Amino acid sequence: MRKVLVAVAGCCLLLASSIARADMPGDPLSWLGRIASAAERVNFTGTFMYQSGAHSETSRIAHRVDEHGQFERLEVLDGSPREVIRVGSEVRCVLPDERTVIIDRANSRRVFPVRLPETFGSLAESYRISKGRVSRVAGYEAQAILLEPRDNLRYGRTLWAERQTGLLLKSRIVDEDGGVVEQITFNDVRIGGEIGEELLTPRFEYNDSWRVVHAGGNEIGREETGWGATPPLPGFAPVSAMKRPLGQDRGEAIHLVFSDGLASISVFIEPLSAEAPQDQLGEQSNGAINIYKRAAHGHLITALGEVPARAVRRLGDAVQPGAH
Amino acid sequence: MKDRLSAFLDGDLDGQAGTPLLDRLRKDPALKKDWEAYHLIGDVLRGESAGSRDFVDRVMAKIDGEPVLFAPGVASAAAAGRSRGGWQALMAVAASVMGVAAVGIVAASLYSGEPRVAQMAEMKRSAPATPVLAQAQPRDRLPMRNVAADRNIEYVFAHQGLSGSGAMPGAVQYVRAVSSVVQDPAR
Repeated sequence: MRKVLVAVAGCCLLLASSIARADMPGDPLSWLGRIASAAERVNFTGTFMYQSGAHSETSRIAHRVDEHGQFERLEVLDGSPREVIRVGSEVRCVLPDERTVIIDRANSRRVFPVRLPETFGSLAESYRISKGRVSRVAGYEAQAILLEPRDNLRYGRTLWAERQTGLLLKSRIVDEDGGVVEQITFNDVRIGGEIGEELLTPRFEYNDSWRVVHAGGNEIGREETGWGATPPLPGFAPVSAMKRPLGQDRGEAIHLVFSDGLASISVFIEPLSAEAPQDQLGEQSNGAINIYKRAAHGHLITALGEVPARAVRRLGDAVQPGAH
Repeated sequence: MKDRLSAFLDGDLDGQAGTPLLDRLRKDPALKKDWEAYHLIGDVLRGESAGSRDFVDRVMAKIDGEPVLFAPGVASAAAAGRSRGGWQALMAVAASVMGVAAVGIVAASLYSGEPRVAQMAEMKRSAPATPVLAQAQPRDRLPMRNVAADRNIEYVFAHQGLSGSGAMPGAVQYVRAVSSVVQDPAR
């Protein structure tokens, strides 16, 4: 998804530069490009609230970009302490309560410039994209960009971008009834200026006695997976395929990712094992993520994503061996 | 098979899925014995046992020897945990420790709506099998879960790793990955 976003951003940037070089583009697609690139270009620090269903949580974030690259620190302020530190291409989730560090590679997914006229095209195919009103968010003037789904296989989104820099100040996902599925809002933010070292310094030290885990599987070609979706889910293109080890005696899970440019659906395919209870098959739901499981072709197929239940079901049912 | 037996006992298998099990029960004396033992254990735990002191002791001895009787999901999850490597081990830890925002919500909805979990939690409080179970999963601060729920968490975690929250600035994407509903071990 990040890859896609960056890709979308890249395309939008290209588009933006060819269409209008003005600081404040009128075209909503250009705004999307500004939003995506602002996250990499702009120094900022602030607090934001994450809401999903009845759950909400406040976090503090600081981001600095300089000649040495990208630096970020995110700290969850509610509940148990959790921290995310980004230095260049490496992202670390630090969980002091459990003396655990999870390391993710951000590099390969976040590099400009990227592909995808096709994803860009699919974004406009899947959503009606328009400019909304200008309103205030966290004390800044913000331009709303509306993405209304053209079908019922994805949620609608509204993005509020700070007018001068394009930094995203607020994001909302809504279902077809207009109910809020998920929302992220800056309560308070300072854009630009120096981001002091103290704002980026990890609060938690860790050492060799902590558990260090490396996230991420191995990216493989889609053809190599031997699986695909037929018929494809409208608007959702395959963007990534990975292999993830399941441990000894259990082989590997194949992880396919499909995206429409904003929303994404993951499909996991693993050998059907005796310990997987059959009574867990079918649909499961919660605020933002829908899950659909079925057993077919000797495998357990799990589709999930921040999309309506019918979308994960349709994609899950379409996944079969041989198709790409 | 024991898992399925237990699930059936808990009412987690519907009639259709239970039919072959019942057939097997009729034919398999060992399974039938397990079936009776499950019922007895349940009766004892609910305080409905009319058995002798000796009977209770014998049942409890059996429990000590076989924690799987109590919480098949937990025991098999623990067993799976031992054999797991790489990604799934990571996800299991990460999920049980921090819970992704989405993960947390998934977990909350899965766990809270799961009668067997509540039942197991109840058993954990009341049964002498507690030390056995505690030993089985010393690191686990969350309520016990079954394998399926466990795996959903892994899936969601992996999904989040590959999908941002849509045009979010860098680390904001990770808020889903570190935000959590199920931080409270008392939950």
